Amino acid sequence: MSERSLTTRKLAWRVAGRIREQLHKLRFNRLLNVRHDYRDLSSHLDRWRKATRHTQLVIRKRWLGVLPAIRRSLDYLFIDLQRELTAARRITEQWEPLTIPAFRDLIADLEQIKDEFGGWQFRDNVLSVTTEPITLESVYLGSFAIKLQINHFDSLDRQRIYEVEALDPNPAEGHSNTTHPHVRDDELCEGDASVPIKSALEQGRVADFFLLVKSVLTTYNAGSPYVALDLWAGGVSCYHCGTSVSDDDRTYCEHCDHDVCNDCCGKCEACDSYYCTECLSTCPRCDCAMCKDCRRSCEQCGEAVCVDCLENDVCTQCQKEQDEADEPDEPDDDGREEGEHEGEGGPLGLPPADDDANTPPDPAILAICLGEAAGVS
Amino acid sequence: MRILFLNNDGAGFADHVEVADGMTVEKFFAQHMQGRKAEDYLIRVNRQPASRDQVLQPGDRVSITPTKVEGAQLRAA
Repeated sequence: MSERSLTTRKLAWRVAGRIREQLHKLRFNRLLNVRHDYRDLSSHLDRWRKATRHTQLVIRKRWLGVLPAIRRSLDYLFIDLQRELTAARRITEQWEPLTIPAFRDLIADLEQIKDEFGGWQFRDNVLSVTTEPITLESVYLGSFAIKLQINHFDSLDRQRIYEVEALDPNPAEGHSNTTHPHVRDDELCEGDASVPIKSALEQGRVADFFLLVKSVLTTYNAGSPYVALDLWAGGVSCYHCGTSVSDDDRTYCEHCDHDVCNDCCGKCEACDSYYCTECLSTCPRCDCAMCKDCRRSCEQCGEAVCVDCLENDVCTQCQKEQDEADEPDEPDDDGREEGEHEGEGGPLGLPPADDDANTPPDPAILAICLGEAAGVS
Repeated sequence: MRILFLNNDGAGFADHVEVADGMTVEKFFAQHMQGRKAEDYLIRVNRQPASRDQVLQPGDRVSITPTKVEGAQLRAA
């Protein structure tokens, strides 16, 4: 006898039976995971047993010399054990055995689904309902079928077990797989509903599950859509600021492969091409905007500068400093090297030489000063 | 008296809670969903729509489901 020919009540019993069977499997899978989660603690306890036996042997044989080493090893083991015990306790606190709903509760849930959605279908292990046609912010999105894979409940912890299919699809322009701001490839991004949806499924509350999915479908979160509703009929969203821009006003940045609005793009003054502001930077030498292609590193100072401020791989500033360093020191007008006399006095604190270079210094003064200097040294 | 409370808002927990005799649906909502508006929720008692002045009975099953839940877009991990 095919499922279609069964009466609704018999079909409800069959669905309820399948859900219960799958929840039992899910419960068993989680028990297996718990055993896996305690594996680290078990290995440390084995180490502890081994260490105890070793210590008893050492004491029995009176190998007192090795006791300090054993003590150090036990100290490390205690630290590891303490950490693993804390982790195991946390796992135990989080773990609660799943309660499998009774047949009558599941049947009542299916009755509620009929009241809320006007009916349900069950075919090929898929329990599905159909929403009313949905319109969000004047954009018609049509009806959606919410399809729950009854035979995948046991893999609830690993994968999504339902799909949301547009029955009268009006996908976003240029995104044929986006049939709703929060549905792509028939997969709903649950957002705030993810935790209650999972709770409802693992507790077998299928009516609550369908209602929660419907609540997401009938709500628009402008903060995080696949495609914003104001761009549903075309245009793009600026990658940087999120502003909606028409196809004519957008700028495509070849560096990062994103569309941006006019406020988020700029011109590279070296190559005259337009890029997004994120891909442009300012040359520290001439303050012009430069793109990644027109940016070079100076071999001397390592700073990134524009190509116009670079000559022979050296930036203009380093070049200037180099030129200044290479220039020979020019003598002063009076024939002395610059710095030969600093401040008011000359070297060794002597008074500045007379303007007339031919005039010898007073020998008396020179003798006294040199003598003092010699005494200091 | 004890009732089963299924809160599909936030963590979506299901728990038995103690309520005073004569507690109405409206008062129950105000107590357990503080700061929220009843019109933003689907309130069911024993899986049936309930009026605000309906008095709760021992063993009742009360479910509260938000009608506006913000989805998002999936992001690569």
